[in-house]
Amino acid sequence: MELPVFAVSLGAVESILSYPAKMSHAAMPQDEREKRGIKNSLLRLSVGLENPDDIINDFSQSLEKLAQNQLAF
Amino acid sequence: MYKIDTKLAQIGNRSETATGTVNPPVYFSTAYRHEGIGRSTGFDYIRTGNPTRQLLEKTIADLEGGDQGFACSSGMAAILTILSLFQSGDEWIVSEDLYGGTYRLLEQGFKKWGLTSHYVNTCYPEKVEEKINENTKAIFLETPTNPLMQEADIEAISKIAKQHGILLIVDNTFYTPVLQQPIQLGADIVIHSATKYLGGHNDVLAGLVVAKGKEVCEALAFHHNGAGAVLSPFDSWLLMRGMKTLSLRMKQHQTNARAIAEYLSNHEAITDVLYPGQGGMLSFRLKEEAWIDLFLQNIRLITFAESLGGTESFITYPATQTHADIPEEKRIASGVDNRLLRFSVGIEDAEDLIKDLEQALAKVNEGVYRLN
Repeated sequence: MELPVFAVSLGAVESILSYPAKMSHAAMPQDEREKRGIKNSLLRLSVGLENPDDIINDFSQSLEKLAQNQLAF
Repeated sequence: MYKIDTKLAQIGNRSETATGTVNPPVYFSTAYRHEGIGRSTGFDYIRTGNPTRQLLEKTIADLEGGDQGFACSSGMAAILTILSLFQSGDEWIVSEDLYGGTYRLLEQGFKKWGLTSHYVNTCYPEKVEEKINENTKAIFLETPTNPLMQEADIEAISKIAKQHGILLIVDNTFYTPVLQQPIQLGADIVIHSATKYLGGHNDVLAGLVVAKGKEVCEALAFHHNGAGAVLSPFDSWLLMRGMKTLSLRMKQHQTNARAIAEYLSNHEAITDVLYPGQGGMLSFRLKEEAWIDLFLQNIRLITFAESLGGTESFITYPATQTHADIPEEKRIASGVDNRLLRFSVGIEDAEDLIKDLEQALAKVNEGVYRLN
């Protein structure tokens, strides 16, 4: 992903992409996280004020790259 | 290439890689260490260049589609910096309906050093062309004009300017690059009183210049540094902070202004509403000059003040405030009469604003009734 910043926090004018397992919910033990559905595959997006088309395009190109790397879907 | 909303929301992000700071740092230092002679980091002295100010300058150049940006200590400082490009004997053609401060700088400032300005209604390109002679070096446009809200055809005028080899300078304060990008329409230089919409929060005094073309940019850079009316690092940062929500704010300003223009057009106490259909600025005339003071005393939500472009609504009385420096006869003849009020419509709830206008106009009506 190029557009959102990969960081902690939320609610800012710019989009922020967080990884709860290592960031906001790192203080919660793994089994407690899993109980709540906060898996290691979960990402949290704080949607900013950028143009939504640009963000959607960014997701598309990023997911496209994943597919090209031939990781099992 | 990203859309303008996106560019604005992310101003300054990723500018610093040492720590990954999202919000850009403010560099206060006036001096920069060199390892030896001729070994500069690119920064020598704050007046010439400052990393925080440079970020702002690159940002506005990108937003306006220009080659280079220059951040100044005020809108007037921005105009002053542009004026240093010219010399004694040069002439300018300027929008007749004009901010009083610009008029003052030209008539009481640069005129005595040999710069002559001709004021025409720039809504008529032929009137502009008429005034061009061998001494004309630039056309200075406000569009829409302050405060009569008249729009000029930038593209048409830019063609005339190019034909005659003269510069086209556009004051884009009212519309901002969100609504209008003069360089894309053929202008050479764009200026902003960034104090207004760009800052958006009535908390920073600043001016911006953007230019297109190698020679113009080099000359501006030379005078920007030479005259030194540059914007401070903290103010540069504060301005960028405000600009992040510019797109969002302009949308609300416009939605509100449209609703209010409609409301005022239907009110019996109002004789004219001047609104170009976009943006957040509009002007209107009360039926009687005598009602102005009473009206201004009775608005509660809307503030009677100079300036414009902030989140809160302001009403200004050009006759005694923004256009007080224009000789009365000339001012009234041009349409900026004593019944005219200029409204910078804020981002409050439109209904609340309309209710405030309603109650103030009702009080005026009562007052008039009592007097009669």
